[in-house]
Amino acid sequence: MSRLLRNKWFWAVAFSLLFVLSIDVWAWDWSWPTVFGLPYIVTYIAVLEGGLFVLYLLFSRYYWTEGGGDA
Amino acid sequence: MDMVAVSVFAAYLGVMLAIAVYAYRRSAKTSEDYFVASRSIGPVVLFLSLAATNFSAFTFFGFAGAAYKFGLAYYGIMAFGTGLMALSFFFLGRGIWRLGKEKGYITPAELIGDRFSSDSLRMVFLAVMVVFTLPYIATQAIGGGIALTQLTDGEVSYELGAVIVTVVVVAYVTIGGMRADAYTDVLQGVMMLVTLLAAVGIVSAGLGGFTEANTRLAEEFPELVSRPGGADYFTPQVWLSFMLLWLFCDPMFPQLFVRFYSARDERSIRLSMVMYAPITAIVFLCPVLIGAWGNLQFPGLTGSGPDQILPMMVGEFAPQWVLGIMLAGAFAALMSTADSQLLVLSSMLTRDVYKRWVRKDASQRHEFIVGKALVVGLALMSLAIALSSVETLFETLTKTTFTGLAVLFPTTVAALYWKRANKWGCMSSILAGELLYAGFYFGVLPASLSGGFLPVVPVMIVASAALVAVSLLTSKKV
Repeated sequence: MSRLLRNKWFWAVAFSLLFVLSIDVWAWDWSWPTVFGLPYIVTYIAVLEGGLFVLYLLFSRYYWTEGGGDA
Repeated sequence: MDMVAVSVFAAYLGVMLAIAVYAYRRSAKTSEDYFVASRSIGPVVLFLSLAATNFSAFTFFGFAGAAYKFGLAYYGIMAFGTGLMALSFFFLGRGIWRLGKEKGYITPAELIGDRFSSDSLRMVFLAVMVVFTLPYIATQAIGGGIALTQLTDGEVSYELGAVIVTVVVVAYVTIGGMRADAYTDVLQGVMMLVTLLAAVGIVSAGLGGFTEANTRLAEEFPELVSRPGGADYFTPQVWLSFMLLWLFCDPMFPQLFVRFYSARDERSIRLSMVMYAPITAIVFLCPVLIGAWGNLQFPGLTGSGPDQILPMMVGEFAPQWVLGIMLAGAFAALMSTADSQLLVLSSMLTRDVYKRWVRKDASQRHEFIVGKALVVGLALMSLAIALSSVETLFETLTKTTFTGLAVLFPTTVAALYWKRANKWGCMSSILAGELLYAGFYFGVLPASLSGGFLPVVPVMIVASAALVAVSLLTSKKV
């Protein structure tokens, strides 16, 4: 697993996939309410932001380690 | 005029100045320390400084106004687009930091000019950054003037308000430079976050609760809870354009670019990247929610009315002194942007113009003094713009800033990653990109030519293609 997380192509695919998911044309006019009455689009983007945070965490832990600082 | 609100605001300005004095005592009185804090900014301060600098007066007033008009989908293009932009901290920020540390760069144009061994390219890069940034400092002064007028119920005029805000910013930037800028950003970033969250709490309580406010919005204004949104604003092309726009333009803001130089180590930049996703998720949601909810309380606003919806909503449900504290949050947002912009423009004029062309043997101490004088000069210039009525030029420049700066993105990427890129390719890229954008903006080119995308998409395609094609064609001659 950690070998996969050190592969640049894995990260290229992961971030590209997240970007494609953010375009979200397949649910363009969805408006149904979710948690706290927030509409789908707000919750969906918040979930993507959560995914982005996790990706950044793993990226900084396993891939962006070389070079300066105390990395 | 509510004395509690004014006292809170005065205390806030006092704390800013105290932080500047603290920063001054820790400074080395050299240009490197003044402009990039001797490359010593640690992870927490760097992250809050990047965030506070990135979020301006527009975050408070503009986003709420846009959500009032176009709906909650505005959250998507702002939050995720800006969050994903933080990936550039790795593929640009890391390289910029390394080169800055290795070669002593202080300004963005120094790196570009040195990499391509071209003073002409350095000047073109500098000119684009200055032209699109100076009017933005004036925007912050204007925002400060308006906010101070509201805070004092009109007893302090807009003009005096703009002067007060400018004087305080100049004072702490002149005293403490980047160190004061970064330290004050910490307080300003926290203040911004707290006041925005408090504003959501106050307004949602006034509307009957968070869930109730969202339910009412969906029932009474269904077009505002999905796409295409109000005025059918969000098309797939516009959505995609915005997602790309922030990725290209945000790292080209000179005030963000130089923050990479000021980092203590790569770990500082790395932590900033990781934390950018949650901070954008929270900070952008607040004004967007309040703006959209504004339709429930103040329906039918037109013109510039929607831009006032955030203070109007808070004022509707909270006493005046609470509104005063909220406005202090807005001040934090605009001052943290204006101070960084002033400092970076000063550094560019000091290093790229004064030291390069006027006084090549200037010492760090000499640059330090010139830099301080330029901060004052630039602040006076932006204040003059804010108080005068050169609206046509001013409005044009502020409206075009994002795409105008995004044009520099291909050149910066090429400087870091493509050995065959050369000065001719970069010059062609910048000139072709800016000319094409001017063609779209002034209507010389039909809007249909962009295929429904914002101009940034065709502009970036042309700028990138010009860089590659011209570099390849001229690579053996240079």
